[in-house]
Amino acid sequence: MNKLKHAGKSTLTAMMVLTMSVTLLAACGSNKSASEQPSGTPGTSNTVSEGTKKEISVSMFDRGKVPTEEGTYENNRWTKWINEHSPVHVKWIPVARNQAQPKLNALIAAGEAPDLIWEYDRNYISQLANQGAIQPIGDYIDKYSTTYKAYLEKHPELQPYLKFNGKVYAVSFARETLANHGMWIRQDWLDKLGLKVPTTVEEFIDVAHKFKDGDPDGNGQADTVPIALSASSNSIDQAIFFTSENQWYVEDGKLQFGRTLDRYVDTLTFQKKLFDEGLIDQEYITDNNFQRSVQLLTTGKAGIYLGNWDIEELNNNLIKNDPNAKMVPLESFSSKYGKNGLYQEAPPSVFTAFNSKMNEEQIKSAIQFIDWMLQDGWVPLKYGEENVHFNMVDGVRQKTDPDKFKKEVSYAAEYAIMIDNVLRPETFLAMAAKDEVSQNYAKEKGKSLELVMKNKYRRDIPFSPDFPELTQLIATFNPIAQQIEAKVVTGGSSMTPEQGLSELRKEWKRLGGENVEKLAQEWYDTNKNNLK
Amino acid sequence: MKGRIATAESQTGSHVVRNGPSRRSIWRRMLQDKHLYVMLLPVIGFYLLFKYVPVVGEIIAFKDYRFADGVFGSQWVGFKHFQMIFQSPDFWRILRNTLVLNLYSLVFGFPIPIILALLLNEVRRNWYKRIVQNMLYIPHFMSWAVLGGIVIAALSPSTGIVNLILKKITGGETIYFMADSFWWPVAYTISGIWREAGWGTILYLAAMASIDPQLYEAAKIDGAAKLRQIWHITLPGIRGTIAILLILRMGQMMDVGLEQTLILQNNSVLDVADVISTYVYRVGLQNMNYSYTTAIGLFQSVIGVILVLGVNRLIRLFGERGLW
Repeated sequence: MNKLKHAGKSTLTAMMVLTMSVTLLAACGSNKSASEQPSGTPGTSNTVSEGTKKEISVSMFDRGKVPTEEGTYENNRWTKWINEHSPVHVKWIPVARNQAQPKLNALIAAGEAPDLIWEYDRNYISQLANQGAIQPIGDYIDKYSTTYKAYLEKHPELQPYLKFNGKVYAVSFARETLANHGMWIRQDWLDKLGLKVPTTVEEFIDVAHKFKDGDPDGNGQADTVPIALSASSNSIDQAIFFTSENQWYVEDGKLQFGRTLDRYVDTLTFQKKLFDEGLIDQEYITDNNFQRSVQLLTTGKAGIYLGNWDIEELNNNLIKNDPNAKMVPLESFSSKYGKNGLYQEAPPSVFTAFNSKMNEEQIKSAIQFIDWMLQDGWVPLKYGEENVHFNMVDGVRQKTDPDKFKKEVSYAAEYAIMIDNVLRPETFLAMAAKDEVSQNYAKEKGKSLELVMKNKYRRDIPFSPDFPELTQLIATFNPIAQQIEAKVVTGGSSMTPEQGLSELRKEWKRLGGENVEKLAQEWYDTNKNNLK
Repeated sequence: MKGRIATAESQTGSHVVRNGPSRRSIWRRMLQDKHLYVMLLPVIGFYLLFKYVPVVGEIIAFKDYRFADGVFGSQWVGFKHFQMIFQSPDFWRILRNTLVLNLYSLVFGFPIPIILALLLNEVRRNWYKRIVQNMLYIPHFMSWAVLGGIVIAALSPSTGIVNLILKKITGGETIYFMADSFWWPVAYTISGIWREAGWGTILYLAAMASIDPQLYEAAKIDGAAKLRQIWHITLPGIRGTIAILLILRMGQMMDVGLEQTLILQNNSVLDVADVISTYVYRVGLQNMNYSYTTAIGLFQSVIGVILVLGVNRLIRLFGERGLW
């Protein structure tokens, strides 16, 4: 470029070269973060004035929820509040939520990853550990942490999840609740037809039949599709028979894969029955986003919902269409193998890991930040400011103005990487809005949470092994298995559940399932003690 | 249009050869047009930086890539990942699905824009032509999430319009198109045509616009009817464009759009709907298997290049100008 500059005599050339080099430089430098700019630019003045505090950078999910008048994810009232009150200065690195892992991976590969990287997905953290992108921190926590160390002693259930290859690679905190999946049923339909709440598989199918034929919506036609499905339904069907598809079960000391268990035949038989007898939508297979099911439910054409424990929006829509509808939570029912809970989350919430490039000094600052956040830093980030965003009423925080809260506080939860809180059903009523529909729903929601937590979801080992042979196998096996199952369920007499299971086992074997089972068993035997 | 640029280049090329290029004369010519060359530099820089430098990264297909070791520090493993690909019993099924879907799209999808462009070219009322063109372009700007929903709803056996009509005409059974391994690829191909055919007419229309109108006048005087004119003037006039687009299309024979497939596929048709891109999505994204997925990508590119070269050669054998 220099040569050209000398060669070009006209000003035009010089200008062009200049513009061009600026563009090129801009292209090269666009990835550099603000802190790497030479001093004197406006962006760095903050850091200088607060010079005594150490700076750490932390990843976060950009969900596009910060209103323009509040600023940006990097800079708003809450980031300022954190920098003022926490022992460190935090630089937030937002990554788009739906692109989070690829984006974080790109940052790591480019050597520009933040100091603290967090995800809900334990598998992801495990892969980062295998990739050498994060470092073990157990010793540092012993050395520098106070609040978190004490918290961990009170929550021993978190321990096994934090260890990767025998070493502690992450910090985490217990979820507000473990509840996830849930079932709902129309109480008004049960009453109308004089039915009892089903408690076994047989009763469940019987109730569904009565819903189908008994004209519970009273329009004179037997046009109800009793059961509406959701993304959780398949997993609920499997949980009833203790056969969650990608989960390993310990049967007589041996690890066995859920989808190849003897019991799986019962899951398939159950699903086939629901389909063959017209108890679920006959086109569920192409209802990828469950729009049809949602419509069946909210228009009062379905009476049972296999979904999640909290369905406020669906319930609101249903009430709008049919003010007399009454959805109540349905407890898990038992099969011949006993009563299982519906799927519940594993105890840890967010996993926060430490970049392998951090030195001891930086790790110390980061741990101080984590201690501070867990102590009380998270409280305003979750609830806002007292007397501004909420008032204390009967020991419960009541929102002053939902719109103001939504605008000014709801995005702040993203910064709370440690939270010490438990969801209590008894507070739902006080926290809900005062209209009748919300109050009614809050009561059912409280019951729902109690019901889904009443039965423990069977999980023999806290998390599944994740060696490459296994993930590879699952990646190829899953689509094949899904198709076999679809054929069993929707294919009429072309394949019985028994044939389906033997087909599943044949494919599993063909793709190297036996070898993977052996490796999984070895993994289980060596890690047995870490898994408790 | 690309064909014309290629022609122009080959002409100037031969021009230089005839002059007998001495180094000096090239330099003089460059100095003469220095402004043009300076303007070319950012483009060259762009291609070097974003298209050629990343090619170096392909070496991770022969390594076990780890974040901590980087592209150059990771360990060499030779053809391990390629062996894994070709030994995987299911890779061939996925490869076959990819090729079959592409073959359908090529055989049925490639001629449609040409036919559409021929039809549009004959429309004499300008306002009408413009309206039709815009209608044809609209699907191109809609995302697959929307189009996929429309396709699935339209083909539903209980509420879909297609089955309603079918039932009226034949009075027989309804067909669950999207859950049938025979019909799914058909629906896939047609939905692809629906979205892209209109947009694909643009290049052909541009090529047709550049045909000398005198040819049509001469043909008319000789008594040629519309179809004769199309056959003897319009089609030969866009032959070069068709050839180039066909060659470029061959480069994509190993790709199937991820979004379209993910949205249209469902559990009952995975035997025909599981393709390389969905496989890479599962393996690569879930498992951070960068080396493995790079190896698959490299394999796809190599096959793509072979197809492009092959078709290019074939087209030149037919006496048409190819890319080279």
